[in-house]
Amino acid sequence: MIYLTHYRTASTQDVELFDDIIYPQKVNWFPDTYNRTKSGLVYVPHKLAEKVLDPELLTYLRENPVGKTAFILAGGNAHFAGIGQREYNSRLTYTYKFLPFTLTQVYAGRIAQSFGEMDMVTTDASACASSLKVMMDVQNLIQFYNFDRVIVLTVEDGVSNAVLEFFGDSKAVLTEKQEQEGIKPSAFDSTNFGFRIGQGAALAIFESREAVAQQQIKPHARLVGAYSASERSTNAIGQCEDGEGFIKAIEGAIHYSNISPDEIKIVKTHGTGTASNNKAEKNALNQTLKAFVATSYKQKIGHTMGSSGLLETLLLLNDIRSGVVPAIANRTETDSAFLSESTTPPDGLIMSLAAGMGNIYSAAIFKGM
Amino acid sequence: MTFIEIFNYVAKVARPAHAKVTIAESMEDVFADIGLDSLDGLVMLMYFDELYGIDDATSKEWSPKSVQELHDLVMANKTKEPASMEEVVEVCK
Repeated sequence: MIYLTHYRTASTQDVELFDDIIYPQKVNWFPDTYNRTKSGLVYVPHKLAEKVLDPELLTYLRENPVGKTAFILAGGNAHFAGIGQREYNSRLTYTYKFLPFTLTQVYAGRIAQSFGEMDMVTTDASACASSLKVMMDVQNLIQFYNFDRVIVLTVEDGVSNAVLEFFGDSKAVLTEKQEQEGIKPSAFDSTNFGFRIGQGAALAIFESREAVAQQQIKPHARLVGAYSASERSTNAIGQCEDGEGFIKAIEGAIHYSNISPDEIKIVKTHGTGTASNNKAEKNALNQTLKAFVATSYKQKIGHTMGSSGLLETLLLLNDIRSGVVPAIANRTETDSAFLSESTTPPDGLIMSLAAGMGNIYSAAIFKGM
Repeated sequence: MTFIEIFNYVAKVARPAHAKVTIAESMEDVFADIGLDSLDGLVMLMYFDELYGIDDATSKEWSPKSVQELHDLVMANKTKEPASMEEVVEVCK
């Protein structure tokens, strides 16, 4: 048994228009993470990560060691290697003075020290599936390698000219021009579509049954099973619209969870709202599950890239605890599956989905507690 | 404001967020004995470069092992110095 025992999240619904780039667009971001970046001493992803590195929780974990412990930094698209200037109205300009801190594993090793002694420190850069893909690693470490605690830190800062322009160029992101034409971020909708880029971070602690018993704590959820897969891809930044990648991930997660598909009642979709993801994810869910409600968070907090899968799952757990599965924002049609209205959480398992450029799809199944 | 006060403040900033920091109590304290590793030392040098107006290329050649060794290198190469702890705090923000 694998339990989610502690978590912290950092995301924002605040948006700001970045208009001095090729594809002007709004972003969900924390301006303070860019304070003093010109000094070269400030590393934006580190500032973002600090928002979830709660000193009290770190002290608790240091003072309450369990058995073997691992630390995973799910860095998504490896923007720690942010070599090359970023510039936006001079405010976002920065260079890094100290190369080792731009190396993802070095940063992971340094942050891991804050949690006490480690038996393994590792990183993951599975693009926007990263933080959900590592649920498969959590599962493996605890079930098959006798780890008792796996700490997952996921953080990604997509607010750079390179990312904003890439997504604008690939027509994936919602541009200001489209927003002025009346389009709003949404998913699985015939009128509204697309996402904004967002900064996000999450910290989640997964522990074995023995570790939970030792500490006498009440977990937030149980990780039932997780799986990641790839599809017969012809385009490394595209998706098969028949949903093959999502289907393989979902079926794998169901298989390794040893459950029936109809036990899954709530789905946190990847939900980018792009035309291809709408088709792929909807096809996959309709083919693999029966009665379910599906939601998406990217319309509220932006696409937090590598952090999105786990971060959005934790936000869903918060919402379920408050007695609601939130609607997908800006739906224009009535839809009781891909929710146009918020609803009370049905009894059953929760499944989270994520997809990453480079042909990776991840599914993780949780039981709220 | 003593050098050791500045040193302890910079050490606190340079260490990983929320990491335990042992305070240096004398100029003879050795980095390793107060829990500072080589990476901490390198990061601290970057802050001292800023505070004392020292060129990066110069400080990259240094490998001080104690507070006193760092002090001597900084004093021999400084082009300015902070006027107050408030300035130190501001630079290290």
